[in-house]
Amino acid sequence: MKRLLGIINNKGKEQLLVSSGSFVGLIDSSQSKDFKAYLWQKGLNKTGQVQDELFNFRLGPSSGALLESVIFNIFTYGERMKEVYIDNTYKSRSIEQKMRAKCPFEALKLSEQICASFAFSHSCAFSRAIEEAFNINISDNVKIMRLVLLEVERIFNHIYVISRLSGAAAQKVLTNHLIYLFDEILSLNKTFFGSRFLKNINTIGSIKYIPKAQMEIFSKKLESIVNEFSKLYEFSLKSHNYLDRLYNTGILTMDDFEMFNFDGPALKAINISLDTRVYEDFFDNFKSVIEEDGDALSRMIVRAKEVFQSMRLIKQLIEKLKEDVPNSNIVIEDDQKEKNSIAFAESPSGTIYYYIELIGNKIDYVYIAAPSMFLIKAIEKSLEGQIFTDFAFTVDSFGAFFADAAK
Amino acid sequence: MLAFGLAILFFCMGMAVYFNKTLSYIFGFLGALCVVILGFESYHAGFSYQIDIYNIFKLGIGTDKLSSFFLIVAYICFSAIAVYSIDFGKLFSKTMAFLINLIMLSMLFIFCAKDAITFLIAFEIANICLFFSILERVNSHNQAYRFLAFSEGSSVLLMIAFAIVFSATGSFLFQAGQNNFLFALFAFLGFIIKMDIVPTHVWIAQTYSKAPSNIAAILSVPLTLVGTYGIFRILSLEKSYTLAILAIILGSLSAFWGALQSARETQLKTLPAYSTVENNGMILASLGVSMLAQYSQLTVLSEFSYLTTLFLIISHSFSKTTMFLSIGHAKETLGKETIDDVRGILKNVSKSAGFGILISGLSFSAVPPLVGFVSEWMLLESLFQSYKFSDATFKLIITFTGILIALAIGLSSFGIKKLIGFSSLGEFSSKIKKIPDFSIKLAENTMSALVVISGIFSFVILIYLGYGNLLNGLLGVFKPALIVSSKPVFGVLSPFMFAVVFVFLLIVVLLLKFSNKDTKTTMPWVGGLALKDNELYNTRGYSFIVEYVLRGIYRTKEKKTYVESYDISNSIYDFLERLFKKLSSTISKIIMNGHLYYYVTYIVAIFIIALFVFKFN
Repeated sequence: MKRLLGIINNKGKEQLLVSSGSFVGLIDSSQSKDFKAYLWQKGLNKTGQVQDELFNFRLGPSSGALLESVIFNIFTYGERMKEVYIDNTYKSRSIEQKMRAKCPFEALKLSEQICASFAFSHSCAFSRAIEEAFNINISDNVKIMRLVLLEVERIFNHIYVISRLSGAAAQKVLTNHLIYLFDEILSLNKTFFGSRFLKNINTIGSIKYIPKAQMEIFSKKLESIVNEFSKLYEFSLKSHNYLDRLYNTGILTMDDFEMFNFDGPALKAINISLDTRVYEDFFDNFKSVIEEDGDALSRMIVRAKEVFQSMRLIKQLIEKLKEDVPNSNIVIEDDQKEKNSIAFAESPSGTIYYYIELIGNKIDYVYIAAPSMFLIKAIEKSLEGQIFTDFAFTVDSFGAFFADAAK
Repeated sequence: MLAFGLAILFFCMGMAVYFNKTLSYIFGFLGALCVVILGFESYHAGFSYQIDIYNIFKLGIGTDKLSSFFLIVAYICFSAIAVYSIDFGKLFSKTMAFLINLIMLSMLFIFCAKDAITFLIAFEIANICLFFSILERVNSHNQAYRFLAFSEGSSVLLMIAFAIVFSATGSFLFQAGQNNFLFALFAFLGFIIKMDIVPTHVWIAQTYSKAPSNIAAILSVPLTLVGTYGIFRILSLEKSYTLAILAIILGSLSAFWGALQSARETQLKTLPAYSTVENNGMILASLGVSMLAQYSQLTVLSEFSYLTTLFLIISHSFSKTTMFLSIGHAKETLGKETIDDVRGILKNVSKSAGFGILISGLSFSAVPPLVGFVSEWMLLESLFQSYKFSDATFKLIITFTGILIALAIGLSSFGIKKLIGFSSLGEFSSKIKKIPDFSIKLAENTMSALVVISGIFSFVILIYLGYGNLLNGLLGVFKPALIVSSKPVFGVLSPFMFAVVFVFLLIVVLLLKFSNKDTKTTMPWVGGLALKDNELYNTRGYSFIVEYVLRGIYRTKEKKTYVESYDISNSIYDFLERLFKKLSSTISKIIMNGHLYYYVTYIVAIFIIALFVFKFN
């Protein structure tokens, strides 16, 4: 299954960044007609044009109901949302622009600033792209540690998203319990890695050294939290009131995937997985979690099951760790050559892709395909035809971050 | 009689000087004023004049209490419409001035007629004049013909009714129709068409909307008063339980249906049009209750219900005239058709138009102490006394009527609040076309004041109408400021005392407001950005909840960018229209098919039929 990840427009030449199976690369823009997502990525979709009896019920950019500065332009004639257009430009920090002319180590810090929730995923994808461009060999231990921390990030993110979702569906007790667990993991992160959101741990070609014994303790502590989550999750599935709100809400289909090319749990909830972890070397027989209904409930179930799956993966990976200290003296020489590379990392809400062009040891052009870019379009689509009551838990079921999309 | 003569003279002069529109309307106003004086004069001592035509049949004109009451109410509204038209009429041709004077003249004869010939001639003239008046607006042929079709339907039923009386008694006088059920039934049906009672109301939505606003006001008030007047006359001539019950059932259904449709409407003049259906329904139901109570020997209830009907007429006439005149003012100034497009009338168009819509709307929403509140309270009080009927069927009918009327009042209030909330009080400014409006404002303000005054001083109206026995003093309210709905006391109301308390509280609020200098006014927080035009909550949003909940009745269909809902009673007429079109198309294909021998056969057949008809007659 192919996805249009972005339109690369550097030096007057338009190319398409696409993925198809194990292929990720650039193709000529003449093939744009093969991708329905080309229209919205190019900005050719007419959105936000009020017609007939619709009026714009604007939520945002600064409102008590929102965590981030964003505008939901909800075109409605009262109870039902007929067209939704999300304006996330308020979160734009032009990070791709700011990375230009910077050395990779400086740009790595910027990639971690895109979105706190996906800080490690961004850092990992960026480092991989630079390492590929400069043919930097990294040790297995670094690779394993990166995979461990990606799974840690997935666990705390999924718990956070489920807590938001249950909060939106008025399950306040569950929400508070989950928020507590979420904060417990962040505290663990701070204790073991020095950063609640796993920043400043990863670097190009290396990673902060944590002894295997420490990682085993971490794993045990994390597992007790995940067990606690498991109890809460099982308990929540007994609440018909909660499930009724999520069931059949914000349904997405294959047609929607073809139109918007989203991935992550939103895609897994419609029985398809494009999880790039299948290409990782250190996972034994990785199998994606999938569900069938495509609704908010399915997305929640995928996330919950992924929490348990990630915990299992972490334990397997830690067993494979060896007691060697990673090389922290990585130097990138200015060879004045032009090069480019593409790399990715599987964030909690989908794959993050980095396309980077370099001249010598300076970045010339960066394009970041963040999962939230696609999820925002999926949110817009899933809200169409829903009543206002369903708004909060439809939006929160996607785990999209507007900062991630705006970059 | 002097006032009667002067009125005719002024109306004729108004027609004669039609080329000078201002003068023509001034004469029209003077004529209407004379009729009001005539009404007041003859309420206690009417006149009667009768002539014999070649000793074949008798014609007569005259006034009694009933016709005087209708003359007063109808011509107070006509006076306002004539004054309003001095400036408003400048937007239309000279013919309109002629037609309005002729309508006022013919309606004078309708209310004063004592025989069928005078009545029908005046009735037809009024109908035809209104038809041409609707045509004053371009591209309104369809709406004008719809009006004419229903008017002629009414005329045909009335002609049949009078023919029944003539064949039975040889007289065209109304009095000859006494105790003739068949006459009463046809006349009843003819008059309810004029009252826009469901399901004969289907023409109003389009026609009221298209007609110039002064004509819409005539269609809504004086014209429907003709129908109401006719029903009063019929039910006084034929004491029939059947007709009384029919009036109650049709009236309550009509009130409910009109209110239901007004709840979903978003068009500026269609909403008040449906409100007319609702109000006339309440009038009909109330009159039916009064008659039923009278036949059941419940004298006090009958009297109170009759008074209720009179108050409903006053309330509807004054409030609806105010509303149409004010809406017309805003519509012409802004050049818009929907409620959403005329936001901010009070702020941007004119204070008088804004207050006109506000006061009349509040009156329709039964806000005390306005006349609408008084009349609707009286109606509910009448219906709540259904337990007094000994007949279980009557009790049941009136109880269900009470339920429908209560729902109608709620729905109507919902619809009217939409109209006043968005149009008069809304916040929006669009392009304004300046029109001369001195006389327009004068008419609006006068009518608005009447809506307030007739509510607060309703006890004075009661005394004038001869119902002083329904006034009392109780619980600190001085006599005769308290209206009682029954004896012994069942329910009481004092709009006057309410007004006193309201004014006192208003003064307190104003004093507090002006004494507190530190009061800060802040704009509501809208996410940190200014609101755009397309972000204003609209009337469809307001109505959608009702349209969705009652989607079975409205046949609501949600489209991508709009909502489709409609008055399903239209489907009856749509079906008939399609049927007749198909029938005429089939016949024309068979007969007018281009073959000569078909035409020859057709002519010969007609010739033979004509021969037989004439031969056997």
